[in-house]
Amino acid sequence: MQCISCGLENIPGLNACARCQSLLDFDGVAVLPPRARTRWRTRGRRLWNRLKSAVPRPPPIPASLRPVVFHSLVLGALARSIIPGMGHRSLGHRRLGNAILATWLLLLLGSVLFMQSWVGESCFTGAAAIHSFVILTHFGLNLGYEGLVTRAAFGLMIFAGVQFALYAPLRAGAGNLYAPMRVTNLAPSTLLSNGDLLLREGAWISKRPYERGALVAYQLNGFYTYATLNGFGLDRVVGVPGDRVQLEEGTLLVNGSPVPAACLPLGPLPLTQLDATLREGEYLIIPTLLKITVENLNRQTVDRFMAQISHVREDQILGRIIYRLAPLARRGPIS
Amino acid sequence: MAGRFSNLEFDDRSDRSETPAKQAQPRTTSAAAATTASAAARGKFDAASFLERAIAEYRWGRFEPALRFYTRCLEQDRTVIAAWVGQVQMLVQLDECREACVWSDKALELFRSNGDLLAARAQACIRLADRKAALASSDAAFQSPGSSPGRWIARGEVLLARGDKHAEHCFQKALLEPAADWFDRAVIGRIYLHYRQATNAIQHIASALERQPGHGYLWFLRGQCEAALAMTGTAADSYRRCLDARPDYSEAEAALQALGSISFGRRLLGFLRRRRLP
Repeated sequence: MQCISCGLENIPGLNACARCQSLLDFDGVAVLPPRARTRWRTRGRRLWNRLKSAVPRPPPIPASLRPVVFHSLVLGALARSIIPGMGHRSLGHRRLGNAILATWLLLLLGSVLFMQSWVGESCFTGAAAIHSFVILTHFGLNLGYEGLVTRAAFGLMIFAGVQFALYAPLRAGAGNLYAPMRVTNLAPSTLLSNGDLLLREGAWISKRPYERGALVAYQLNGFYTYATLNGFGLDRVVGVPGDRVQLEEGTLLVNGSPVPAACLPLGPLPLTQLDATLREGEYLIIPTLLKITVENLNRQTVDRFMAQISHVREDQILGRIIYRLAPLARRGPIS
Repeated sequence: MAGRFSNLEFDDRSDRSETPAKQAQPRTTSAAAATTASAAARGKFDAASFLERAIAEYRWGRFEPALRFYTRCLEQDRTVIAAWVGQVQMLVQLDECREACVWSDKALELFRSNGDLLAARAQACIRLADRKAALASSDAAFQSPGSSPGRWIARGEVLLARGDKHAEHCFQKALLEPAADWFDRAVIGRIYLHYRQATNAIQHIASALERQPGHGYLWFLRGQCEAALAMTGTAADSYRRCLDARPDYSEAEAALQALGSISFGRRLLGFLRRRRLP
């Protein structure tokens, strides 16, 4: 049988040419080409390729280091496990690698967007699980852990390691830079409502001291005269160290001057009288959005209690609120 | 209902009347007469005739019927590489580049490292903006034995899409190939037109017209270039020349009617695109 492509006379019975691997038997070969029902898939692929070519590629690993990084069993597995999916891509499993990478990124995004809810925690655990799977795959491939039980044990170990040694510290570390926080159990206001996901500055980058009017999150952990409060509050800073803050006939005065509208607390004032001089390291933040129920107390006592809560130490302040992440329709900077 | 059956193919009346007559001939006639009759019948429905009709349709810019004829050619004979290449090229021209890529891969499984197929694949890839794959296919096309204008044209298109100044050099190399004819110039013109370089396109089409002045499709292409350059008067003349050559060419009629509705923005853009004309 003569090959049509290269002309080689092949032994009868062969399916493909011995020289060029072209097909020799054409019976049953489909000749009807696939047709596009719409142009969207072609356009989508074209757009994707253009985007791909527009994105700059990371610098390649120097050729001298390549044998060390990729051909060493342990180092190769480690290098391929840094970003889930990239290792699979480098091994030629492009589709699986893309799927893993996309799922991992989606889970990470979900864990940020649904922070402090069971969905967010599930996403976070899922991302760690995917990372563990990737590490297990690469180390299993390279180190020959082929048995099912061995793999399962190794997998659990890897998952625990990834979750507690990598992801949890990373999350804690990231929280010191920027931390998402969800608004819960607050009285609604024009600026914030329950369910909002806010981004606040972490302790490492928050500029101190805070200025008047800054929207901050602060901790309420502690024993007060009439109640024990836990959790956090959100409101504007009314007075800074050294200020004298007074409440006269419903008007807040700082050092004798009325507080500008941009620096007023977010909600209605929960107290009727106030006269406080702030010491060093002490801020006045009136908890206008906190739902604090005080029973069997007269007005004067409530005022005293609220004034006590309003004095916030600098170390209690978590940081400024800078951005609203969700709901997506209302996302944007907050001031 | 009529629209659903507009793509059905019917053979000529003459063929239909002729074939039954030949079938009706008594079996007892001489062997020579029977051979002649079957050869005549085969002459209408064999792979070569379908390929010829496909090429004829392609040369008139009718890609859908051309694709059908290439397919029918392959139904007759699956080893005609030109028909596989033609199918891929038609899919590219019909802007079904994703399908063209898939189909070229399939064809390359049958004919490994066929240069023309690789060149067609390069064209499909570059129309999908996949430059890396297109360049790789084009390189492979040149590494395979033989040479053809199609490989240089595909290379030129790959370079043109990348904005490389050597694209024209590749097109000139294609025209220097022994197998190059006037239609290759038209193909190059179409490529330039696709990449919105009408001034370059019109030069190649004018060159093709010098070699084949009576072909209506070249006038149609010239009209398209002139329309892209907002030269509506000359474009209308070109379309009319096309219709003189083939009065039933509906594309030219539609283009002639569309000339009247060119917006001011397109006119301005066309005027700005005029750089140097032959």
